[in-house]
Formats: sequence, C-alpha cells, structure tokens
Amino acid sequence: MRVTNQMLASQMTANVTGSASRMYRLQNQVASGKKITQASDDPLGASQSMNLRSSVSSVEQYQRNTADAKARLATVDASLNNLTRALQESKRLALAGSTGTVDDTQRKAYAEQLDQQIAYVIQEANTSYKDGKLFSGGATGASPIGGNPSLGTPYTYQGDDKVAQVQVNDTTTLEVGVTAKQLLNFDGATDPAVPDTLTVLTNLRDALKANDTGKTQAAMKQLESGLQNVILQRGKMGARGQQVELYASRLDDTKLALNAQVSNIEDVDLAEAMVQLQTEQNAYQASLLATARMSQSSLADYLK
Amino acid sequence: MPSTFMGISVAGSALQAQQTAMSVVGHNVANANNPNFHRQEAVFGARSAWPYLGANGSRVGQLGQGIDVTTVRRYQDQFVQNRLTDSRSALGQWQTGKGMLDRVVGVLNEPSDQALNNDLNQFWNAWQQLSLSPQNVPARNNLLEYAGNLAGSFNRLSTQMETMGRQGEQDLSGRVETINTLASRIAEVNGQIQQTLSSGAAPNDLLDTRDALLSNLAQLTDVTVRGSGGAEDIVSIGGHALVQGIHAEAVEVGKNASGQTAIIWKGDGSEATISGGEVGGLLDLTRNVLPSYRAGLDQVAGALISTVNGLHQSGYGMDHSTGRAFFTGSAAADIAVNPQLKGNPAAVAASSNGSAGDAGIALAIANAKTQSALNGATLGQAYASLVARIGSDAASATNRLETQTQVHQQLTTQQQSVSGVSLDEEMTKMIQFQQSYAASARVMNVMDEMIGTLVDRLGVGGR
Repeated sequence: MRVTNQMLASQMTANVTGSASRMYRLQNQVASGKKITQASDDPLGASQSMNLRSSVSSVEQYQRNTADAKARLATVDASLNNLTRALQESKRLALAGSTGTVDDTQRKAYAEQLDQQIAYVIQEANTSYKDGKLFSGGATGASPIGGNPSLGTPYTYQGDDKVAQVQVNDTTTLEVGVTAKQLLNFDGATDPAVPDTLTVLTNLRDALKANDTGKTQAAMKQLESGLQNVILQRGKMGARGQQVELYASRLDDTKLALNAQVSNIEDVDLAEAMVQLQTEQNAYQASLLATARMSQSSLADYLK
Repeated sequence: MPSTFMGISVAGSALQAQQTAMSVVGHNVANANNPNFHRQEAVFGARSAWPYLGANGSRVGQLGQGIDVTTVRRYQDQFVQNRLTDSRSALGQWQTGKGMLDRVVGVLNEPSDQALNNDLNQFWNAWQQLSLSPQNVPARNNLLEYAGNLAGSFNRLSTQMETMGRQGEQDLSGRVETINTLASRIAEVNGQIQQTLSSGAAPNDLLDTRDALLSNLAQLTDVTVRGSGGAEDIVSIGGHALVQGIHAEAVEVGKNASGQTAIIWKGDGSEATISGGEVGGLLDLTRNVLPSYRAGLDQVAGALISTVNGLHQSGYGMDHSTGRAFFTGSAAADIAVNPQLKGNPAAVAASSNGSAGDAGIALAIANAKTQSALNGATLGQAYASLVARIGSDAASATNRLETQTQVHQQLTTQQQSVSGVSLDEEMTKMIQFQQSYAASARVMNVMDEMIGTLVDRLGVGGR
C-alpha cells in the first residue's frame, strides 16, 4: 500500500486521541468510583439503579415509620401502665373500704380517694399525643371520654374505631394503638355483660358511700374484669411493639442489601479499573513514542 | 537527413519537460497537507519520431524527436470517493444525533439524588410521613412542597425537551441556507470546469474544489452523485436533482402535507426526502425522537395525575372539603399542585372518612408508589424505563458515531493511498527530474561542442 504523509499524520492522531479518550474515561471512573454517571453509560443498569434507589427511599421512609410507631407505642405503654396502677389502686381502696372494720368516716375518705382515681383514669384516657388525642381512634380532635355523671350525663366514648396505622413495608400495615372504647369497655366493646369501667368505678364509689356491701362486691367483681382487660390490652400493645421492632430490624437488613445492589450496579471495580488504566497508559505512551519516531524521518533529511 | 540542430531541440524538449514535471512536484509538495488535494503527475510522451533515411535512401529506422508533457494527471479513485461522500453523510447524521441525545441524557441527570426519580420518591414519602400524623400542618406543608418540586421537575424536563426541539428547527434553517450556498457554488465550479475542458486543459484543481464542496454538502444531507466525476455529474437529494451542470436548485424549511417540519424544494414545492447528514439527523430528532420522549414523559405525568387525583378526590381535608383534585393539568408540561391547596394545607385530603386523625387516603396514595399504573409497571418503573430508552438511544448514537468514524478513517486512508502526496515519493521524483535535467543540459552542451567543431575547426574561411 502506498503510504502518504497525511495518512501517517491522521492515523497517528487517531491513535493518540483514541487512546487518550479511553484513558480519560477510565480516569473518570477511578476518580469518581462510579461506572454509571448518566443513563447512556449503561441504560439497563441505570434503570435498575433507579428502581433500587426508589426501594431504598421507601425503606428509609418505613424506617422513619417504625421509629414513629415505637415512640407512639412507648407513650401508649406508659399510659396503660398508669391506667393499670390507677385501677389496681381503686381495687385496693374498694377492698379496704369494704371490710367491716372501717367506720363511716374512713369509708367516705376511701370513696373520695376513689374519686381521685376516677379522675386519673379519665386523665390517662384523654392523653394527648402529637396533635391529637391518643385513645380516641381517628377522631383525634375530640377527648375520648365525654359525659359527667355528677351533672346527670353518663360517661360516653366520643371517638371512633379507627386506630392509627403505620406501614412497615410495602405490604404490611400495623395498627399501633388502642381506643379508650376497648380499654374501658365502652358499649360493651370487650365484655358486653359489664358496663364501662368508669361507670363501674362510679358505681363502686357510690356503693362505698352508701355502705351497700352487695353492690360493692358486684362492682369490685366488674372492676377486676376491667383491670384484666387493661392488662390484656397492654400485653397486646407490648407484642405489637416487638412486632414493630422485628420489622425495623428487617428493614435495616433490606436497606443494607439494597445499597449493596445499587453499589454493585453503579460502582466501579476499582482494582479492575486501575489495571485497565495502567494498560491504557502504556498503550498511550507507546503510541506517543511511535508518533514521535515516525514524524522525525523523511527522505529530505538524507538529500544534500 | 535530420537537421544539424535536431540534437539541440531534442535536449531542449527534455529540459522543458523535466522543468514542467518539477513544477508539478513543487505543486504536490506545496499541497501535501491540503486535505482536498489529489496528487498530480506530469505524464510524459515521446514526440512523434522522424523517419531516418539511410545513404541509399532506404528507411533504416526512426529518430526520436524528444519529449513532451502530454497532460497533468490527477490521481483519484471515483468509487472510494463516492463511498467517502456517503460516509460523510452518516457521520453528520450521528454527530447531530449524539450531540442532541447527550444533552437530553444530561438534562435527565439520572441516576442521581437531584432528579425526577428522587422527587417522585420524596413525594410518596411525604404522604407516608403525613399518614403518621395527619393533622400535622408542617407535614402537610412539607407534602405540598415536595409535590411542587415534583410538578416543577416534570415541567422543566418537558420545557427543556421542547426548547431543544425548537433549537433543532432553528438549526435546520441555517443548514438549509448552507445547502443552497454549496449547491450554487458547485454549479459555478462546474461552469469553470467546462470552460477549462473546452480550452483543452485538465481542470485538476477545480475538480478538487468541487470534491471539497460535495463533501461539505454530504456532511449536511445525504447526496447521490451520478456520473464519472466531471462537471456533468448529477448531484441529487432523494432522487431529485440539486445540481446539474451549471444549474442549481434550492431548498427551504417548510411544512409537508401532514403539517410536519420538512425540507421543501423551492422549484416545485414538493418535499425533499432527506434521511442522512446533519439535516437528516435534525429532522428525525425534531419530528420523531424528541416528541416520543415527551409523549413518554406525558404518559407518566398523566398517570400520576389521574392516580393521585382519583384517591384525593374521594378523601376529606381537615376543613372537611372533599372532591378536590390534588394536581391540575394533564401532562408533563402543565402539571401543577392545585392552587386551592397551595397555602391552604388543611385542604389536603388525607382522611378517608372525614375524621381528622384518619390517614386512609394518605396511606392509599403513598401505596400507589408500588401499584402498577402504566402497562403493568409502577410510575417509578415506567419513568425508569423511559430513562433507559433515552439512555440506550444515546448510547447507540455514540456507538454508531464511533463505528462511522472508523469507517470514515478507513475510507480516508484508502482515498489518501491513491490521492495523497507522499513527500518521500516527491523527493525521489525531484532527484529523478533534477538528474534528467542535468543530463539533458549536458547533452545540449556536447551537441553545441559538436556543432562548434564543425564551425570553428574545419578551416578559417569566412572568419
């Protein structure tokens, strides 16, 4: 083949620039640690990475959700603990007041202390959380307990049945909470045979005041049922807390795995890239050397 | 009998021929780095011989009368030249395609944490966050903020693609002007070539000019050249002659029968079929490629709007409002957060039954993230596959450009192998002609001495 000066020049230029551009790409990869910086680098990988990033984003949100659920359940647990104590105290007061050895004055004192426990129970049932009431279901704007027997209106539950829900993964939504209706057996929610616990407590107080042993005994039995119900609900919430904990730790694992996949797709294998870069550098130097040698010689050098 | 001075005229013709050949060498060396130049060569031809008669009048042979440069030859391979023209068109097409698609990919900026995919994820997360405390006004404001970001990203992408399309159309009219200028220049050069030919000379350098103009034309549009590489060749685009001899047609940007931007022949108003070159590339991008990307983006935006609105309209805000759309608009260009909600976060319908603490709708909308909304894919997946489509178009344009560049390089090498100037070769010829010139001068010198012998030494009569 006939070789001309322009052929030599353009071939040498093509070789040197080709090698330089490959080196540039590898240098970029090594420096940034990424082999996909834009969709055209690896279209399939880019779309996989986008979908994985969406999943990571969801998992991070579910982690925030579980953290929120844990905080909510901790508040619920504290309230239920106080509620249990108030009911236990009420039971103790009723027991003490119903023995034959106490006189009228003492019994009245017990009845007054019982009044205080009723106030505690109402206070706990009306606990606030964030922007609303914790135990009124979805109707968080309203206090769950309404009515005032001393004014002639019986206690009522003013909330609804919608318990707060928290999503912990793509397919699972957990109810994290309980309504005052369930806690205090309004409308016979947990035991239709027994009136709501606040009414039971009021009846107990009135029976104590009136020294009506029969009614006191009956109310104490009902109170025991109410107490067991609160303990049961607290146990349920505790179990729910463990469930949330379990989902949270699964989310941690999932996030690690997803991030590893994203890294697998987007990140460059540094060792491999370094070796390629070294090889390309050698090729680049060789083509520079060849270019320098070739462009030096010409027949004109040897003519007199 | 030959003339006494015949030897001198033979040597003289040689001196002249070597000198002419040396000028051609000089022209070649001067143009060694001119990419449009085709190397030339002085073609020698012996002058017609003269019959030499012997003493008895019989023909004994012929006496050569010296040498002439009969023509200056231009080295070219028409086949390679035509393929080079085609390759130049493909090169122009993919350069334009790669440039535009790279810009689209750059605008998408995926995968990253600053682009639409991330805005979409944050939008879904904001609904989840709202579901945790549906009455929380900051959470509602946050949601409206993220929704605004998402709508803004859709608007921006759509506008930027539209702007690219418009710029492409503007670029078209500039390139069409250049096509017309080149066509009339080619016709002009054709005229000069015809004149030169009619005077009997070889229009070598004019042919170079013509080839260079053709190559520039091929960069802009796919052209077909029929003929043998002369002034009478027909240069045509899509079967319609652009230049024929000294006559050039012109084109302009207009609309075709279906209302699309097209290149129109000024002469008869018909549409020019251009599929290659920069103009072919731009036409494909502005007519088909960019609109299809925008349609894909509109599909995603449309599905987002209808999914979110459908759920949102069935819910209740804290202010008990219901039936309100969350997004207004219907496509990527005009999607926006409903102005009735902006600055009025209480109207965001998170509740499914009207009670303020319920987050049924917020959860339902958040879960739309994982539900199929477009041909069995979730909105995120649909967008990711649109990005993958654009990315692979850009990657394939890059590949095709690289391949075409290599093909072009090979063809250029082939063309240069025939037409390029080799300085070593020219130096060799230079020595050759120099020595021939010296030898011819020597012959003339000796011939002169011989005649001198006759004139000076034969006697002194007449001195």
